[in-house]
Amino acid sequence: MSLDWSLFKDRYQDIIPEFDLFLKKLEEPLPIGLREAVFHQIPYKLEEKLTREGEEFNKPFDDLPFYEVFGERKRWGGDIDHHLGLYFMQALSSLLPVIALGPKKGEVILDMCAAPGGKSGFLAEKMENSGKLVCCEPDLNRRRVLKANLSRLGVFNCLIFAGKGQELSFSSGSFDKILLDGPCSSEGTFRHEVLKGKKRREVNYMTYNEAFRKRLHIEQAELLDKAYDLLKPGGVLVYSTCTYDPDENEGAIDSFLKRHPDCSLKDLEFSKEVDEKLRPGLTHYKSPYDPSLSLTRRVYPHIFNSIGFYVAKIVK
Amino acid sequence: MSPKLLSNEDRHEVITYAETRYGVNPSVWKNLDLIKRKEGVWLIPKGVWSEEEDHLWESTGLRVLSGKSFPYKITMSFVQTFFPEIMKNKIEVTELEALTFLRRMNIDSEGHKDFQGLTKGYYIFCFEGKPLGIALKTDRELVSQVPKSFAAQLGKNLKLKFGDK
Repeated sequence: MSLDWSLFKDRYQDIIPEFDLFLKKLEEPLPIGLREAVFHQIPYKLEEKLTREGEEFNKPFDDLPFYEVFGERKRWGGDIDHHLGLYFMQALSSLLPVIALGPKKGEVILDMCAAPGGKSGFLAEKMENSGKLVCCEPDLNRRRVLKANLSRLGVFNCLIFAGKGQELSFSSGSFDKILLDGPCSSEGTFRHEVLKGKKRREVNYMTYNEAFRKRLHIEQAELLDKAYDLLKPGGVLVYSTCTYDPDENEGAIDSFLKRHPDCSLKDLEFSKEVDEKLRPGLTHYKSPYDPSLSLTRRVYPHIFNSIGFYVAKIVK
Repeated sequence: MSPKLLSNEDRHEVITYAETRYGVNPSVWKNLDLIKRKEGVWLIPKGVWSEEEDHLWESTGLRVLSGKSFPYKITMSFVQTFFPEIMKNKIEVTELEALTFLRRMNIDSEGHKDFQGLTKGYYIFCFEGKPLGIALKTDRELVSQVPKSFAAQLGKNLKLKFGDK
């Protein structure tokens, strides 16, 4: 059954390009994403497995260890190799914030909203399981999932903090890099929700409830300010969400830049192949934003076949 | 019990156990710290965690040994992390045996010529060279140590070998 997208239309038809194609894409099944986990010590090639088992698959980008497969999600979630941490199921868009952050061996990195752990696992992989990765998650159940996923992936450079990112008591400037994939209205994932059908009530709540959005704006600003404090001068902060809402994306960053004029936006440095499927951030919505917001990127599912996303890279 | 770095003596004991039981070269531990928590021993890069940390850490690195004290049980995380270094006590099993273990059922080792003569202790069972889990050799049986949740998620139609479609 199709969802009622009327408010979506009111909000976004003027800012999302090719809006009819966008709406059509939301009704299509989302490919299942498998990221090959490369740092475990068990000899393994995901592509060989997919070929050997006669699976239909697609590798969207040559430089990403990522495959799209089809069929039922439980087939991939129940596979022994998944349980051994040889691959991880995640959306292609969710790799982008990690690539933008550019984690390196030996760095001290904070993942402020870490569960369920797909990005944290990819961060650890890029860090070659060295340095220090601090992951925050206040919710017990989500933390259990995070812990299980990182354990399955063989991540050992990680400390999991049982609390909100705002509650960390590290001294100012403790981190080289920070990933803030903040709480958001999750509109970008509504492709999933269309598939599941059963979450319609939740979709409607997140789409229509203004009080819920206002609470999110406050929390996003708090997290951004905490990230600013914890980031060392010259450090990199990547802010991302899985929503299309400019108030939670460009609006949040525009306000942040006004509060912290020593910070600036930087180019995300994706490969040309990836970047040509992304769209620049808005420089105007309700009122003008800082022109540098065009350096941020929006991910639309009808152009980049995954879930909707937003990514911004800030240097202190 | 709050986390503590293993004392030199306890660290030596763990490294010696890994070497004597599984053939893991002691040099692999050089840049790694070992932390004792109530549910086992955790692995973390050297210097990343200190006992002065005042945060409420849910986990510190990766749990490589479970249990309160010796005899510890190795975890699958141990196997994943050190697999190329593990030279001893890996047993290659048939597909049927692997499926038996993965379904949390045990194998009568006395009636099985390949498993006779195994000493008591934990073994890593492998299928076609890939480690799938851990089994405990008791007097008469190889007892599957596959966690319940893991077995449940694998599903009834689990296959390990696939023909060309």
